[in-house]
Amino acid sequence: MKTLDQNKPNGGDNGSAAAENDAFLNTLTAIGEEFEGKGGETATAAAEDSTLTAHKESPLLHLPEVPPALTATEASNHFANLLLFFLSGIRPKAYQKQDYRIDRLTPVLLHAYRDATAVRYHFPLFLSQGAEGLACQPLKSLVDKLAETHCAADDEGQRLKRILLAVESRIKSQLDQSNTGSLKQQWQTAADAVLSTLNLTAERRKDIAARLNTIAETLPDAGELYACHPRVPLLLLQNAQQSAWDTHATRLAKEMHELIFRLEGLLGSEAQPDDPGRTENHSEAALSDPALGELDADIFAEIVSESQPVSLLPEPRRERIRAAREVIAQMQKKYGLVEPGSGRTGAAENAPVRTCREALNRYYERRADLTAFFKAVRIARLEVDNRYREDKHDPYFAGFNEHYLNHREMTAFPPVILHLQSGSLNDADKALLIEILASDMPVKVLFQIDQICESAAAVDPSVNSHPGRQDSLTEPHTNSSTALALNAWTARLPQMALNLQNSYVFQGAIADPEALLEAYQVGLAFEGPALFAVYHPRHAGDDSLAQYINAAAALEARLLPGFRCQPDLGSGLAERFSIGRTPQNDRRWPENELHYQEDSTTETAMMAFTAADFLAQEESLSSQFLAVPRTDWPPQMLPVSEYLDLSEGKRNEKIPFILMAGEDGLLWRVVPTQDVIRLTYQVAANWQALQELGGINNSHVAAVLAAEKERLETEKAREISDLSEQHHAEMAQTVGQLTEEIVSRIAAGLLSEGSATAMPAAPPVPRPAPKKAPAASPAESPAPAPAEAEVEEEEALSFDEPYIDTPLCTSCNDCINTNKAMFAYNENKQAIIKDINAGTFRQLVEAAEKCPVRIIHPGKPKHPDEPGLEELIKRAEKFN
Amino acid sequence: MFGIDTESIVNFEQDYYAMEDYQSNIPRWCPGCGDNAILTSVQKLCRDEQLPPEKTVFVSGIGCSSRFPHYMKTYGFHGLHGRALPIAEGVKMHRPDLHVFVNMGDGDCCSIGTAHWIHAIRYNMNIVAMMHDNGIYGLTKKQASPTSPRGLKSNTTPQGAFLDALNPTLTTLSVTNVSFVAQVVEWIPEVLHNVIKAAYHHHGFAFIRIMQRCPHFTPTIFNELLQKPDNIMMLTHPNGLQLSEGVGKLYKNQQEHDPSDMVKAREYATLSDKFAVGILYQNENVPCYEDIRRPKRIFTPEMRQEALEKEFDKFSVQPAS
Repeated sequence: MKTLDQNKPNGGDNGSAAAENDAFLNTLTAIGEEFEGKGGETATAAAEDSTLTAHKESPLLHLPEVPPALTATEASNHFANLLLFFLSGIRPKAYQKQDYRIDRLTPVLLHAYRDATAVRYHFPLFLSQGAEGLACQPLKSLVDKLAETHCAADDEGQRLKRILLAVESRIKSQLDQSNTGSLKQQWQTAADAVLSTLNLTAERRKDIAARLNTIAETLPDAGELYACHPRVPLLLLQNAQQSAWDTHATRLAKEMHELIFRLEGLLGSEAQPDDPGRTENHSEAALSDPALGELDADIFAEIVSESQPVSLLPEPRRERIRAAREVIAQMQKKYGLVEPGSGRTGAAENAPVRTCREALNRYYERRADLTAFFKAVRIARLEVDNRYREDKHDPYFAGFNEHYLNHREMTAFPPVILHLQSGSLNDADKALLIEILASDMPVKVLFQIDQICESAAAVDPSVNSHPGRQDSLTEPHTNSSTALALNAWTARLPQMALNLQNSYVFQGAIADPEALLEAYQVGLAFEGPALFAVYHPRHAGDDSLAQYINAAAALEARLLPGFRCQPDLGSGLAERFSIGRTPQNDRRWPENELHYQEDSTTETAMMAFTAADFLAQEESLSSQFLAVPRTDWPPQMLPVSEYLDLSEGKRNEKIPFILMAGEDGLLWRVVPTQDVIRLTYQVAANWQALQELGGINNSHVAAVLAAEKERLETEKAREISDLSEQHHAEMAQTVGQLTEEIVSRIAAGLLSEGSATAMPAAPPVPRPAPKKAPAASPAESPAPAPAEAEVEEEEALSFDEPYIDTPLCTSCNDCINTNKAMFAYNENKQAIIKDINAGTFRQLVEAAEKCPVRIIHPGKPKHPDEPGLEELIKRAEKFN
Repeated sequence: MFGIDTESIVNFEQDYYAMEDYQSNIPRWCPGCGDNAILTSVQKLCRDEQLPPEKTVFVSGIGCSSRFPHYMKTYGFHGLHGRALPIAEGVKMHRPDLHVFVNMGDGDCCSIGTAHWIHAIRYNMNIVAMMHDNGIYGLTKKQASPTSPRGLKSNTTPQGAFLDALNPTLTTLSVTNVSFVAQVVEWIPEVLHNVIKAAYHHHGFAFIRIMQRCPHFTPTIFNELLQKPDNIMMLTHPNGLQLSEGVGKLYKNQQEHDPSDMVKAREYATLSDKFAVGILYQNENVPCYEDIRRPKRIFTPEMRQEALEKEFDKFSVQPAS
């Protein structure tokens, strides 16, 4: 990796390529796109678009001119000054000037994104309820799609595209004020505003307005736009929850509606007509004319009024049904379990709570409701099916409590939503939160992290004496007295929850809203508790891009790596845990290309974005950094990522730095304090632990692999040496044999004069003695035996015994009618011989003759003294 | 279903129904009547599938076979001549949760009830329809039916039937929305049972033509099939009928036939020298009428009243206040 070394030789060719920085931050990939188009239009078009191309290109990044080489004394002085700052945070006298503060510098990789108007990113976010559920997409992709459909590749089309981009930019600035608004409305306002700023002829204005209107009509009707503001994580969660609940409630409502309908059917089956219905007049009106001729209405009314139908439902049962119906109806009302369009209420039931105690209370209340509800539902189901047995079910329902509910029933009502801010978490909440996350309560916690690191003093005033700090060197008017620490809770809470292993845990930042929404949807559907830790920076003011960049940078710098753990996916970490949403998650730090100019030459270097880079852009920590001009760069400086790789001993000789750029694009090396480096190291270690959990660079696996590799290598080496030894031995032997053979052949040739062909006949190779075939192969010989036995057995049956082909019986009752004692049906209602001695051979033969499917086989007579046997045997023959 | 399902229902004891639980009276069919075999097969199906008797309905028309509901200890509807199918459709329409079976004879189905038969196929409601085809009006003592073979002497055709018999299988196959057609003989109980079972599991209108001996009036018309098992062509297929080893040995004339093949099905329905037994055609993808037409919501009387009153209110005259 190039390190922008000051000792780089001077000179080089005069390249003029623009320095661009377009590949930084995977979460921000689209950011590099800028609103304005490239040149090349006609003069009129350019004039029209003049307002659209107001944005200036950001200045190129460049290194200062190469200073004269430092003398040894100067170098050692600079090194001493910087080391002092690095170790203690004290600014040396030479660097007291405002120039050396980093307030006006940006970490070099963030330099390209300084101008909010030029950058397109995930916000404004468009959230809509589609056919496939709730979905979100950045406004920019919506605009891109519109441009793709409506803008041709010609100049005219491209101009329209630029107008669309201007509308998008306008919407963005509109939303910076209002934070949220409906897409159609915002679009209309923005389109009008953009149109009014364009320098157009009346005709052209009309034309463009018409085209914009056509495009506006294709926009989705419903859906909200959100700017990147701190309420977005909660709003997204509420929307996801509402959407999930709507689907669920509709189904549940339908079921309840049917159930109540059936219950009322039961109660209504004995409804009595009203008394007025029994009067004579009413009877007369009810009977039609022809009937009146034959019926006396008076008598009819009398009969009707006297015949009081006896109540069909016993009183306890009716009471039970009523009570169940009452409870179900009550819960329907309370939780808005009505079908869509019938005025669903109950949304207030699910407003997020702010403290853990409230969440628990609401959960207990909801659980009580669920118990009552499902008790009623179960009773109702039994009653509807007419399966309620008082002797058994009464005691069961008397002791009915929440333990009787299954998992799905437990989650039938909307989960409790708990919204916590990391900054305002008190001790009681901390304790209860762990309790909630360790339980199986469906409480969904949105843990909004608004600050990742803060001074230790803010966490606990007693931590004034940081072990690495030297109080005597503290300079009163610098702010370096605040030692740094990762905010213990923000950094560790999601990871602690991870170790509890029974809750859904997600950690991410507002910079990846699609992942956030997906996590919400999965986490809400999860049966137990869920923790969504979402980073949304607090201090970035109203500038939504700055907040967004800060959040994305936190993800990149591994201060808040994105991960999720979903326990219901499996028992192994590989199934449930993933760090897939962290950019370049196989590396310690993400690396990105950096283009800069040095002596008018464009250079490219790979830059790592470390935690130190992130911290450098935190306003409150600016005192922890010191900007050093190129003239003062001692040779011992090393980029932070490389510095961290050094062993403890070697670090003493080096000073770490990060690169930052000023507004003019000038590059500075910035030296952090030791505290920042310690924090960076902590972040790296923490990230490595997460990587190992996620199956990347697992140190255990690496150790096993190394050991296994070594073992295999030794084994193979031994094998090779064995083989070569063997080979050598064989060679020696063969050479010996050959020599012998050659000698003997020569001798034989010499002995038999002239007959060169006479060779000593090679002794016939003794053929391996054929394996002695086993006298009786166990696999073959026994096989024929059973076959024979079967034949014998079959012969032994010899049809003397009577039998019925029962599976073929058609249950025609013929044999049964002949003799019920002799024939009977089996459990499939097919005939069998029940008792052969219960009847005569004659009956057996008669039954065989009657049987329409001829499946009765009479066999031979049992009793030789039966009369007419000869004839019967003859008749029986054709059935045997 | 989500949230609430069968798990929510407390089941203390597993109710088990034996064959006897589906048998009511002793059948009054003649000894040797093929209807007995069908009855046994159906009772066996009910037992194997454990159909709750209170959720099972047998609907019939008029005829020997239509006495069927009397012998089943389930709900039954002994309807009018030829009208078994419309009744069954009404039952299914209003109570889609019931298992509906229809038993009718050849006269019932193919003569007076033809119109209903054709439209029942087209409606494709989830019903099992068994046509007991004995080629004669048995209950009214031997009159020629549409399926009587040509030349059969009967009280109405003493010279022998004049016309060739109607082919109900082919007719069914050619109606719009047909979804399940099978042909079977009642004297091979295993095959009969398997086909009825497949029909029960089919989602849609399952029509089974069951060749049934009448020991009294047409004892000989199936002799060719009874005495020469090779005349029965068993249509087997992994998706259709599968034979046990025993039956396979007895009926060697087997042919693999894919029930989704309509052209082949029609071919097998019209064999002249052999008689095809098995599932000729099956298509699960035809929509069922009750699924299409069933209201999405149930309306209580109160809801109906409310809606009606809302409409009436539009016409009422409000007194001036």
